[in-house]
Amino acid sequence: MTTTRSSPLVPRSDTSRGARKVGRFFLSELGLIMGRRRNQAGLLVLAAMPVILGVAVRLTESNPRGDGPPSFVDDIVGNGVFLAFAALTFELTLFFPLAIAMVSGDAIAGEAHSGTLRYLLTVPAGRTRVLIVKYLGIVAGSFIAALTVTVVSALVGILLFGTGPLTTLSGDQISLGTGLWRLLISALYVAVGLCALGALGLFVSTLTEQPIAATVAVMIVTATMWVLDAIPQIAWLHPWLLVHHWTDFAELMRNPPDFSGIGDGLLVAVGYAVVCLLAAWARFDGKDITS
Amino acid sequence: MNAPYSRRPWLRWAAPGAALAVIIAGSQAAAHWPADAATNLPPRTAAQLLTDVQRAQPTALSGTVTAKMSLGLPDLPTSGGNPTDPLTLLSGTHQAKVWYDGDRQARVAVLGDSAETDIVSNDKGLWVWQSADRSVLHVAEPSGAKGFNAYGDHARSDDRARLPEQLSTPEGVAAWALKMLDPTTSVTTTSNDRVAGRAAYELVLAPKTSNTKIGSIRIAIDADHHIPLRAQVFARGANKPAVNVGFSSISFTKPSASRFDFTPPPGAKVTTPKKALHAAPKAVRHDRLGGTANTELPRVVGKAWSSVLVGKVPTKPAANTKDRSLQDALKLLPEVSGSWGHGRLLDTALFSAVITDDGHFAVGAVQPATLYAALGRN
Repeated sequence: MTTTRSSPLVPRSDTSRGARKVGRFFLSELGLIMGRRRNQAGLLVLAAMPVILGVAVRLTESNPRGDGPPSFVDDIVGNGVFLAFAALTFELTLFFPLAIAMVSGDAIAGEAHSGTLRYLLTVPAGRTRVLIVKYLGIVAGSFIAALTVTVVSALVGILLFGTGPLTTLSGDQISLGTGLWRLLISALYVAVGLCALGALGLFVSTLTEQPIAATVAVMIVTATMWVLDAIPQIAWLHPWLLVHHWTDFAELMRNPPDFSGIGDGLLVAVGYAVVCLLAAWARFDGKDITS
Repeated sequence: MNAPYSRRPWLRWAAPGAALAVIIAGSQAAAHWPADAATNLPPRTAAQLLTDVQRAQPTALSGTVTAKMSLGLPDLPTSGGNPTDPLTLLSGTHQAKVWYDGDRQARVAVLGDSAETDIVSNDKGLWVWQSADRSVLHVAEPSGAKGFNAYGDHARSDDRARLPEQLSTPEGVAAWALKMLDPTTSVTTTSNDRVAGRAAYELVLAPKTSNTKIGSIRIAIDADHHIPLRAQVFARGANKPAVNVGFSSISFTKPSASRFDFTPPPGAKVTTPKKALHAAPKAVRHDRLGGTANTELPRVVGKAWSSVLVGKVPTKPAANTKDRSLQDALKLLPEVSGSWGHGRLLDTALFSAVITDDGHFAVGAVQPATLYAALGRN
């Protein structure tokens, strides 16, 4: 650190001013993302899903247990907190990726499409810094989406079904506090997975000037990965798919909680993010900006 | 600022390319790293290893057991998430967590996809919890009987006293077992294996006949604690095991006592069989004999590794839904016919089975031709 400070080429005041500039740039970008009417509507849809799920379960509560796929839906009746786990599981297949695809499609391609990208680049900010701020905006969007859904669904679930100690998959019970703590870890883990998808989206966004094309491309990639993940014959490929470990936060509902799936999932997410962000940089830094 | 890139713009793509290469190489290195750690144990003979295993003291442990089945069966869609469904267990990869306190308490958790089956043995008896249907089976410990003890049979000295002189010591039992195996099986050992990070010996059983699908059975035995760590069954000529069951991680520290507590959660269906569990097999056997008295008992054709079990499928008047799905699965098998008749063949890496249209079956760890020959002798 000291060598950097004494270096005449990089004055300290300049780097701290740069950081402050990125901070201000990021806040304006976040305001832009949250201010868009389509993003507000999207967040509302995300938050509405657990409400619909909760009311549907509440209305059919008297029905006997079905033979459906295993999920947390059966547990909701016993404890409202499980609505949050069920909501995270459900929204991961379509709604979360769609939201991230939308935000990341807007990031570069959206600016290019509306002709504002070249104005953005006339500000002496540097293309790398524009890319960093755009990605930070996607990261913020991922965490806002995952945490909003978690908080809303936990509140709705507790309101509709009440709460108490949680029954784990192992048949043991854990206290409500421990359960909420594991729910928070699950929500943050989901958000990290979405950040990795956002990095992929940012890369796609630098390839085109049509935001809708970037959004559709990200959705196609996500859907393809879900399909490949469901084919047992290509099990060797599964650990390399971004979505393979996405629902592994369910392993936290064992006793003792099993963190191995989440650990693998984080490694895969970081790998996707690093490669995609570097690819986005390689593309964006050398791109001819004409619009 | 970007001087090196301005003349060669494609150079930028080296960054994501290098990152991708590092990630792939790193993951491969991490996957193969434990195998590279060499072990160098002093050699031990098969007789010594078998003696060690019998002398092993019960030891507290916790670990993860992974079972990988590559029988060549089609991957069946996982049904209902119940991880202990026998059809599901026949293919794919399965994991279970194991805890044992070295004495009487044990817990096995079979992990499924968002489901779990727990088998707990503690002071209050045996509990089986299935998260898929939230059911609990509780078998109270019979009064006066010993609880779960994996080594219980060896520990009873009064039984041992009744055995012939030769079998009264672990060395004697080992020598006897090897003598019995000798005509059909070659028994060798290796001393440089590594399972779940632990140095291990390997006991290798290989059939002396070539008229079987089994190439070898390998049992890895921990060098310190002398407990089996892994069992593998190889098909003839295969270099990957068809069945591979073993610890993927193990630790010999005692699990906390709370690990063996089990209280049925609220809302669970608890069933408690009226009679103790050991009375059940007798009842089942009686029922089977009574119901199918007119069918012939299965008999064994051939010897040792190439033996074939031939018999008649008991016909059940009331076919439940599970039987019907089994019938449907049977229709997916290829049809075969010969001088012995006509039927369907299940041909896997380790064994093959034929069910004829007139209800006979033949099954063995042999090539289908041997099955046909056994059926023809009927």
